Amino acid sequence: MNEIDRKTIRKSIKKKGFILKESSNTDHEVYRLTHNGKLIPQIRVKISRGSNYKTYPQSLWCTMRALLGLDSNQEVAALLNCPLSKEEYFTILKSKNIL
Amino acid sequence: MPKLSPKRNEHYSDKTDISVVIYAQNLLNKGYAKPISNQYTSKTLTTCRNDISPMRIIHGESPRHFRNQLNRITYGDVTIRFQDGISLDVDISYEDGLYIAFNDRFGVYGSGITYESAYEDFKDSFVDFYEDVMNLPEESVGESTIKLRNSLRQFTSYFKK
Repeated sequence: MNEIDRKTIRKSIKKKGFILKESSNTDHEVYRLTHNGKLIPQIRVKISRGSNYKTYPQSLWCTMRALLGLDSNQEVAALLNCPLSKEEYFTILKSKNIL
Repeated sequence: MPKLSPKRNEHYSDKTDISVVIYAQNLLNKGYAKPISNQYTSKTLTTCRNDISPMRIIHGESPRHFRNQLNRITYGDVTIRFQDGISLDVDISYEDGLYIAFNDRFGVYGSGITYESAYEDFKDSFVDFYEDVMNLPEESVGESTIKLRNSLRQFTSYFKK
């Protein structure tokens, strides 16, 4: 798993309950996690809009690990590529007292 | 890449990354740990008082990786200042044609095709992260956010021009 398409990331995180933050920033989009109607703003994904970021190299998406509340790169890849379900993701976050 | 020293950790600083301090404080609050030293407190009273350097650099194991320790973050009209003895660790790496600046525990990161642009992007991301955690209405955020907010409040000061 080296690169992940930006569109795939966007689609995957929306399914997990991340919602786009309204912002005037034109360089990137910020998605913040919601759970039971509450925002968890420290769990977030930033997606750059630049042409250099149509795909995310592993070195970049690996840095999202802590921001997503996950421990391993495999979990991050599963979340961003969609195999990890919303329920499974929330179970991980609950086990770490993030939710 | 900036020129790096061949000696590893030559500029090592004993400041403590704020995310580590908050993690330790959570363990203390839950009764999972007991303090064995007041290192950052004693440093506050001694060397940090005269330390005016805004940044320190730690060289990592790889020539493509090094670490900055920031006393404060300034981006736009916002400055976030960390209590004496506490820093924000920012790892800088260069891979796949991109510079990536990130704090591993908070997970905040910035990237760019130049070191400067990655660093600016990181500062933008950290200020955005900080303002969200600190300023969103209490009723709209989860319990974990309130805990993080209380911890950050203890160790940081926020200034806006």
